[in-house]
Amino acid sequence: MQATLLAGFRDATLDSQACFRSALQAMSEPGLVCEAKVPLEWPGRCPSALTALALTLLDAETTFSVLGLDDLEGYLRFHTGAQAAPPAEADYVFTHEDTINESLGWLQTLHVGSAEWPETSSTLIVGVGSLHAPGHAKACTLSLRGPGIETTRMFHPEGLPRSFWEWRMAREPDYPLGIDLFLCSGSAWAAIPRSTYITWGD
Amino acid sequence: MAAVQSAPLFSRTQALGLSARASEADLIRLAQAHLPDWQDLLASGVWLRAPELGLMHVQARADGDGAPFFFHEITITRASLRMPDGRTGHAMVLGRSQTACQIVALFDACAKDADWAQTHGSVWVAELQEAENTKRASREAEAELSRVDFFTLARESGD
Repeated sequence: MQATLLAGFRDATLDSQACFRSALQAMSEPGLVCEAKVPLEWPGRCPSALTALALTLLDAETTFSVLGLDDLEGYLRFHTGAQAAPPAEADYVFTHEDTINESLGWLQTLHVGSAEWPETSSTLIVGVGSLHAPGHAKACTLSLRGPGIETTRMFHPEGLPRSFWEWRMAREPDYPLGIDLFLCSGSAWAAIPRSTYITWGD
Repeated sequence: MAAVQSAPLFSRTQALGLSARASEADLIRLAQAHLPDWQDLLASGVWLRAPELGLMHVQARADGDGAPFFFHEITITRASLRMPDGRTGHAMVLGRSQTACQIVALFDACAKDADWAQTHGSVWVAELQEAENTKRASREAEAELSRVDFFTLARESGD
């Protein structure tokens, strides 16, 4: 039985432009929670914001990889025409906190760009439980600083293990190589570009 | 229940090809005849991909074994529809008529119902085929009028 096809944005042009503006805002101010314009329908396990971001960023010239979000791949192929690829070769990697909690090894294989072309690196997009859950048992308290943040900004995402953030911190000396990160929950997202320095806030 | 599948009266390729080239007026007339409530049906479905305009590259060959070359671009409209019962219809039509595109998507979804395809779909396809044959014949007749015969010229030079 073929999975039922789901609808994308109500207006592909205007909605993806609104999402792109919001994603740009999120990347410009790391850790700031921004709202997405969500599509009409999205695959069950995905946060609607993650689906919206995928519809906004992908086109026929990009490649993507989906880990642990089963129905998303067919949905994106239909709506964007983008090609699925292994995580190590994909421009955009979509995954879920559960996949990262199971294993971190594959993160090491993500493409971080080259000295000549640092912008060819992968962008990692992760669905998480919450973007702002200070005090929650599964939340990490992160202190962010770097471009786009005047002094420091506290960020309390819930769902990702400390080992994930340690992996992210270990990438910092490689700048301008590195991985840009989006976290999505419900209809909102926040971004942590490679230029942001993270320290433990607790 | 596994009903014996009778051979389809038309292929999907044939039906969608004819529909893609058909005029908007023909499609509206067919929809009114075979799907009287087509506007309500369209309203009840979900647009997986709302009708959208685009350009498509067309390749051609100068002859059967000629090298392919870029001929020109055509305007197309495409859409995908999901009906409340889960059937999907996809359409890509020549030109910029959203109505034509919507009707073709609806036709594609309805034609997945074997009974409808048998009773209405086959008539639909036959009528489109006939309209296309007529159009092609009239264009060929028109081209025939401008045929230049070099017979006289050849005979005079042969003397």
